[in-house]
Formats: sequence, structure tokens, C-alpha cells
Amino acid sequence: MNLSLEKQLNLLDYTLASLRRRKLKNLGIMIVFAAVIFLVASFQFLTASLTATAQDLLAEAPEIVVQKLSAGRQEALPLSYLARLQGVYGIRTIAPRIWGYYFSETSGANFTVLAVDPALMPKGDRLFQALDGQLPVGQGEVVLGSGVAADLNLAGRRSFSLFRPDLTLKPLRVVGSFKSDTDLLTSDLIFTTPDEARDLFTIAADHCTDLCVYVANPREISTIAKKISALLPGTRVLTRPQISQTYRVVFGWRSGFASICLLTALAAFIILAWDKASGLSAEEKREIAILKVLGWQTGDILLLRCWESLTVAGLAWLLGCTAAYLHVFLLGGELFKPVLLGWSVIHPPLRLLPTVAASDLLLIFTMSVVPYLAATVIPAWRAAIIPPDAAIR
Amino acid sequence: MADIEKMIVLDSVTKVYNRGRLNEVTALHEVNLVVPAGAMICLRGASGSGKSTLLSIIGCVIAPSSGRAIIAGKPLSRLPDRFLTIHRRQHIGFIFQQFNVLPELTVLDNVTLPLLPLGIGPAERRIRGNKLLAHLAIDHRASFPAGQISGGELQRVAIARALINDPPIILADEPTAHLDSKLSREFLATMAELKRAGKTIVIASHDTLVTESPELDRIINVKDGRIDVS
Repeated sequence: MNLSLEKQLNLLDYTLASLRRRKLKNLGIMIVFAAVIFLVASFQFLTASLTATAQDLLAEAPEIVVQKLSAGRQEALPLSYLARLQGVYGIRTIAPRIWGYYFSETSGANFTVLAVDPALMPKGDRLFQALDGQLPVGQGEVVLGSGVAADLNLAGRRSFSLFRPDLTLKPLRVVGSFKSDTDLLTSDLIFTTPDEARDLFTIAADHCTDLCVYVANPREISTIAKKISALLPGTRVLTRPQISQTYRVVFGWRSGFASICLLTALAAFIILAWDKASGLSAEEKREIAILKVLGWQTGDILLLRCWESLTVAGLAWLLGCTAAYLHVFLLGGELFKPVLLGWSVIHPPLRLLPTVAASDLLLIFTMSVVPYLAATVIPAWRAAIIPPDAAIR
Repeated sequence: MADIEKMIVLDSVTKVYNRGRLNEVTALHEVNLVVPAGAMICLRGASGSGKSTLLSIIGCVIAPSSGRAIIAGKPLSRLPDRFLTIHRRQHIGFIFQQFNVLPELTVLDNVTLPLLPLGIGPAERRIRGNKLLAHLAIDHRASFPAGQISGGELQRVAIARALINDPPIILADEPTAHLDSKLSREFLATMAELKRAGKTIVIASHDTLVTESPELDRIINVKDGRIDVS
């Protein structure tokens, strides 16, 4: 075997033996370090995942949504507005939409009720692919998301009822269910026809909640939105990039604030490591001196320390990141979700997209492992360049 | 190495610690010394006389402040630390007063420590280490932690470690300070054997058992940083 490689293996072997010799101390450092990395990584993963989840949700959303406001609050919008937009150049299609939330008192869950004519949506055919069964067309027909079906506890029944605002019952019949791989978008969804949704929410037949505007060229979204604003004063015109940016700013700000707090903890740990390492114990200094006298180069000792610190910090990084991944994507980031999402109860539960970018991992590595390496290797270097004769007499 | 007649040559070697500071100390003054290859000499002197500094310069651990030091044919005075270390690794074996073993490592691991940065694999290290331990009759302790063996055994571990690279020069600093007379005699017998094998041996000691040993070729008295050949 190559001598240089064999030397590295020898040093690594010695490192592992050295770690074993001081196993309690090293285990303690590793656990504390892993805990700090876990906190930082959890935030990073949660922010990235929430942003990705929001982007994913928005990918299926219309490019422009037009809502009517009255006294700053949204209200039903007359379908006659639709005719006023027909002449705007660049609009591909407009779909009136009825949507709202239905609060189920029995389960404490909020369902999203949505109704739109698939024929008016550019990607309306994808709805067929997303469900088992058929699309609702007749009276009382609905398609349910898995979360809603579970929450209503239908147990094979096809019929159920929901309350109208005047507390009369509206009978409904399940004609299909959304496939589980669309859970992220459909878990809390009750999809029905516009007429049935109007009936459920008691919305007038010539009204809808908003207009979904699809444009031919995505680069013209803002121009078309301005035209719509000018044509329909008193409406709120939301564009997909605006919503996307809002999500990014909100998550970014909250995450940034929390990250500053956690980075302070990380910095404190590094300072502690520096303080600990710069005051090398007499035993450690003696060991360095012995190795030097026995013919170890300063570089060999630094390499030894490097391997040692890299093993401790690398394992802590791996442990911290793995725990953070499980915490965020298996347990839903319960520890920090209130900080990033607010304290409202979301039903059915929001499932986060497992999104981990290599750049995030690298960032955490750079912020944690690299300073720790410096904090432990530099003092060892300072000890190694001192002539070893005094330490070993 | 056999072609080097003068294994150690010190020419007007001076060593000053903390030069230019209030606590400046001149540990060696204009020391001249020549030790031929295969000789066994003793540096005799009281504590603080400068014999350990002399041993450190001969052992390439520190460089002289002025003068010339030629060890195993190589002038060391201006060699950077990196090359001093390489030269030390190849030519010097150390035996310390405190033995300076790492107590948590096994006896075999302590003995083979100098081989690690040379890139010698574990199998070869084991063979070489066990061979030396067997020669010094301590192979039965090979797998023991060094912290759990007796002083006499530790001394033999220190000798084995000094010999693992087969260096031509052996330096021993107060090697019998922690040994009883029986073990001290055993140590001297081992040194005599090494001398017969062609090693150059320098022992710093004020133990009469050492200084009166018939195996010594010379005794060098060190006093206040100066030497006096007797």
C-alpha cells in the first residue's frame, strides 16, 4: 500500500484509539454539539420545506386571482365581472371559483370546499388523473380528500351531510376520492360543482368567491394584473409571484430571527470549545511532546487533532442533521412549527415536503464543523510548535 | 552509518533561553564535544548543570543558539524543525527519566508509536514490536496497558521504543533514577549489549552505579553549562 495512505490510516487508527481513551469527554462534547446542530438544522430544514411546500401548492394555482373587497373584507363577486375581462389581451381563460372553509364541530377540523368547472381550467384534465372514481357533475356529488374522509369517519358509507349557514342539512354523496399521492394538495379538500358549493355556502347563483385568471404568457402576469385592477376598481388582484414572494418573506424573516438566536448558541459552543482546547491539559501537552520527541512532525500532530475533531464534529453534524430531518419530516417539526407558522391549529395536519438541499447541509457544516476544527486544531498547533524538551523532563 | 567515525560533534555550542528578556538564561557555554561511533559515554552533573540541554541538542530536539552541532554526519544548527524531526526519527532513540509512556496505550502500541508517521502498517509494526519486546524479555506484557506494569518493565518498554527505528544513537536521561540497584544493573547490561551492537550511547546521570560502570568509555562532567572531560 502507498506509504502516505498507510500513514493516514495509522493516524486515523491512533485517533480512534485516542477517542476511545477519552470517551466520556468526547461523548459529552458530541452530544452537546449534536443538540446545537439539531436546533439549527431543524430551522433550516423547516424553512426550506415550508417554502417548498408553499411553492408546490402555488404551482397548481392560477396565475391571477381576482377577489372583490368591501370594507377591506372579501365578499362574493358578481359573475358579470367576468364579461368585463374578456377583452383583456393576454388572458387565456377565466374560471369562476367558489371556495370556502367548512368547520366541522364534531372533529374540530377545517375542510376546504372548492368548486370550479374543470373544463375552464387549462390543466383541468389533471383532476381526472388525481382521483379514483368520477368528477362531481350532479346534485350533491362530491370528491373527498383522504383527510376529510378519515375525519368524517364514513367507514364505507357514500352519503353524509353538512350544515348550511342557516343550519339546514345539505345531503352529499361521495362519487370519488383523491389519490393518496396528492395528499399534500387534497387532504383537506371537498371538491364539488359550483352550484352545489353555492348551495352549501348560500351564495347567489350569479356570484362566485373569486375569478381564476390564466394567462397565455407567464411573463405578462404583472401587466395583465394592472389592466384588471384598472378595469375592476374595488377588487384585489393577487398574482402567483406576489403570493410566492410573501411566503418567502414571511418564512425567511421568521427563520432568520430564530436562526440568529440559535447561531448565538452555536457561537457560544465554539467559544467554549476554543477555551477548553486552548487550555490543553498537562496530560495532552505531555502527549504532544512525547509524540514530537518520538519523531512525529508538527503536521502529523495537527492531522491527528484534525481527524479527532473531524470525527467528533462530523458525527455530531450527522447526528444533529439526521435528528433534525426526522424531527421535521417525520414529526412535522412540532418543536418549531409554532414559531414559523403561528399558533393556530391547522386541521387536517399539514404535511411537509421532505426537501433538503445540499447547500443547506453544506451551510450547516460550514457554520458548525469548520469553526470547531479551528477551535481545537489551532491550540494543538500552538502546543506542537513549542520545543518538547521541557514537557517531557 | 558505519562509515561515520564521529557520531556526535559539538563545536562551540552555546544555548541561551529567553534571549533578550529579563529571564535570559545561558544553559550551555561554548561546549566542545566529540563522541566516536560505537562509544558509550556518561554526562555527569548536578541538577540544572545543563546536561539535559546538552542531551536535547544532541537529540535534535532543540537547536543551539550558536556554534555547530553535527549529529550522525549532519550539521543541524540551521535546520528547520521539520528536518530536525526527520533526522531525530532516523538517528536518535530516547530513553527518559520518567519513561514517558502513554499509560492508556498497550505496551506494544507504546513501543510502535514512532512507526506510525512512517506509514508502516499494523502487521509490520506488530512483528517489529513483538521482536524487540521478546528480546527484552517483556513480550508477555505486550497487550497490557502501559499504566499497569512495574517500573522495571516500563524501563524496558522505553528501551524497546527507543530501538524500534534501529537508530545509531541512544540517549538516556537519568534512566536509573526510578529503578532499584538490580534493575539499574539490568539496564546497564542492556546498554552494554547495545554498545556491542554498534550503537552510540549517551547517558545523562549522576547515579554512581552508572558513572562507575566499566562499560563507559568516557565520563563528561557538566557544570554550570560547561564541560570538563575526565
